[in-house]
Amino acid sequence: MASKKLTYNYNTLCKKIILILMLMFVSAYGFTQANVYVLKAVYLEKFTRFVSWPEESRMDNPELPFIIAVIGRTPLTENLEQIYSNQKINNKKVEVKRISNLYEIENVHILVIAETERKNLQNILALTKKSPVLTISEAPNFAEKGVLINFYEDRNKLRFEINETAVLQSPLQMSFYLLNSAKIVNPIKEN
Amino acid sequence: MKLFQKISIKNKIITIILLVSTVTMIIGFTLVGISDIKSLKQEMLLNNLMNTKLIGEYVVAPLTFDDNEGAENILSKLSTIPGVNKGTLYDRNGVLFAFYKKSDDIFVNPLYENPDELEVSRTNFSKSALLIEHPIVYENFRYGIIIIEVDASLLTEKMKEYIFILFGILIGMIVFSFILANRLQKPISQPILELAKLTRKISGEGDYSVRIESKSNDEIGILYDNFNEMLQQILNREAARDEAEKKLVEAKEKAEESDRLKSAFLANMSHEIRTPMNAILGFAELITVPDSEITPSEKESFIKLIRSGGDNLLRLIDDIIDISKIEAGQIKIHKKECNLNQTLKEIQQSFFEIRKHKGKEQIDILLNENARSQNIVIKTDPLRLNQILTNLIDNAVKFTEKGFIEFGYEILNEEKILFYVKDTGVGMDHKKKDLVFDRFTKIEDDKTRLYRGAGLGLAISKSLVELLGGSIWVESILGEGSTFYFGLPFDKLKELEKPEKPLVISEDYNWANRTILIAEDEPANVIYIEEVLKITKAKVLRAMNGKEAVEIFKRNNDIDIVIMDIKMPEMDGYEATKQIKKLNKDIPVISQTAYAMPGDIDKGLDSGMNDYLVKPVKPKILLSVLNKYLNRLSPTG
Repeated sequence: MASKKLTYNYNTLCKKIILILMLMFVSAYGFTQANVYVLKAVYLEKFTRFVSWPEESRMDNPELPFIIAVIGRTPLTENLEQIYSNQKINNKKVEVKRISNLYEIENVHILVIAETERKNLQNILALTKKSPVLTISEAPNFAEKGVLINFYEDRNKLRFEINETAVLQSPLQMSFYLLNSAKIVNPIKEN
Repeated sequence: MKLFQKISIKNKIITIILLVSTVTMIIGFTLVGISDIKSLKQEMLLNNLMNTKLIGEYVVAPLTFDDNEGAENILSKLSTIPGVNKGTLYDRNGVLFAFYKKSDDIFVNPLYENPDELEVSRTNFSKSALLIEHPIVYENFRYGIIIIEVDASLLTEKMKEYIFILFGILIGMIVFSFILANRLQKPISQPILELAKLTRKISGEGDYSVRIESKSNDEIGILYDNFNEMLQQILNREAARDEAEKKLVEAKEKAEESDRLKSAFLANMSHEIRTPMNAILGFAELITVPDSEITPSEKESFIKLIRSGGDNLLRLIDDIIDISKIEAGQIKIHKKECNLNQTLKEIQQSFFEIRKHKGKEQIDILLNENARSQNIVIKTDPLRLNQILTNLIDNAVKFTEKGFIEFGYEILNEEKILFYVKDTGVGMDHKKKDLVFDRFTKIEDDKTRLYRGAGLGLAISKSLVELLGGSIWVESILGEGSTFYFGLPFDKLKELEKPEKPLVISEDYNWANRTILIAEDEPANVIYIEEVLKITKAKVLRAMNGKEAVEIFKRNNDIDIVIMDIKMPEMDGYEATKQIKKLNKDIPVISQTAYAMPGDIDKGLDSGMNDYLVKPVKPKILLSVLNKYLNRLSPTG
């Protein structure tokens, strides 16, 4: 009995050590381009934990898919497709679709806006502004312009910024905790 | 407990109150303290748990987005919470994610084993620290574990402070309750102490007249009342006992006195009886010696001496009987008319006789002017008056060798008459003036040893005077004489013009044709009576007892008078008298008895006897009494 427990402990300890070494490896070597996009794709699901969609988005119905739309060209698309091929968000199957037409954003839960859409950004935002769509981008200044969450890198670490005013105006509700861990852009003016 | 018994009641009450209040307070304080400490602990636990949970929620986002800095930034806020030593945050794999520690020497474990096993918050109070382990769960996702360690010494410190304050309050309350108890015990202990003081005083001084004032209506008040009542009872009992004791002592003294008197009385009696007896028996023997050469004149003088001895004896016995009657309260005073002058003259006359017998003819016996010239009848007991005067004069004769004896009376006022008997005898010392009236008191010293007598005469006189409603006293000068005075109530009836003709008793008794029955068992007495009656020529019948007397009376119907002895064999005088009276109720029966004791005469009169003679019966008296009855009757035949 004692030896068995000892063996078990040894095994778990080994696993842990390997895990720690892996993490150290990740942090030590920073992240490659590919890794950043994987991380971003994973973050997308994590964001959904802190964001609640209004009733019209039918989040309560597991039959309907969770739709992530990507507008513009970005390597993130492949990563999204790859990761969410078998991972669910909020018990829903995830559907990743690439759109070029702005009118396709109907029923979309998350809209990823690629940097290539910089010129078209105002149009896109004008459309999503009042819709229950979580807009996510990965280009500098996109947040200031009205995208809700924008990725950026700080000292080799993936970080994100949130346009607080835009969040307030959006029908979406965002948890304070998420806001708390992000860099706030356009904070709500007190009065 | 022994110590408790020794201390005073005041301290007992204080101790009890203090003990009760202290125990109550300690119990109360302990309960309050325990619950307070518990709630303090609980409060600390809840506060810290809440903080932990709050921080746990704050770090959800940093954990989600792998933001160590953000997490550490949040954990650093723990420094503002007092007592928190360290806070560690592990991710859902149990790997250290971020931590906060108060000081550098605190060890932080880089791994948390089996993080999935912690499903709910776990708290652990150790002596030095409170450890809170909290799984971070957000929207059904597990993010990791937060552990916060709080220094429990703060709690200990707080507890110490709390206990210190409680202890201070406790001491204060004990002091307060001591002061209160000291005041409050007074109404209970004070009365008891007072009572104790009083009882100590009572037992010390024996004063039962003190009382304790009751101030309350409670049991102590009742105790006081009962105590007072008890004191009163003791007092009453003591008074009763004292009274009884006094009476007992008096009775005892009286008994002793009377015993002493009786012994003295007997000794005196023996002496007084033997003295005349000596003369009587001695001279009688001298006379009866056949070969003696006694001349007739010597013989006559011897016989006189025998008679004088007999007289003395008789008087002694009379005195004894009088004294015993007086003592028994059986002397009856029969007040009736009494011609004073006649009585006094008779007394004077009788003393002329006595003076002759005693060979004191050189003394004059005088009556005073009043007694000779006035004629006064007063209401008194003549017999007793006679007795008093006779005693006094007899006494005077005894102590007077030359000079005179004067007696008589003075009317002092309308209410009082004063009698006196004055002599020129030996007199007496001033100190002995009152003693002479005591029984058996005689003036006895070397000089006066010659005066004989039982010493009863004056005592009898005093008692009789008092019975007649007067008082007696004496004035005397030693060597010059004494004067006895006694006053009597002057119950004047009338004053006679002429002195009544003195009763001349005829001494010529001639009862030649009369028959007299003598019932007497003692032959010497029968012979004596026959001798006396010889001169009367009366016929004498003899009976040896009562029964015989009745039979003789039945056979002879010519019997004129019966002389009946009382104490006889077969039938006594009372019974014989009754039976004779049944046969003839007019026949006079005269008893003669040696019973001169109170009641005898009454008893005799009750049984029908007409008169009585007391032995020894003098010839003169026998004859005069018989004469009284025989003259009344018409001679038979």
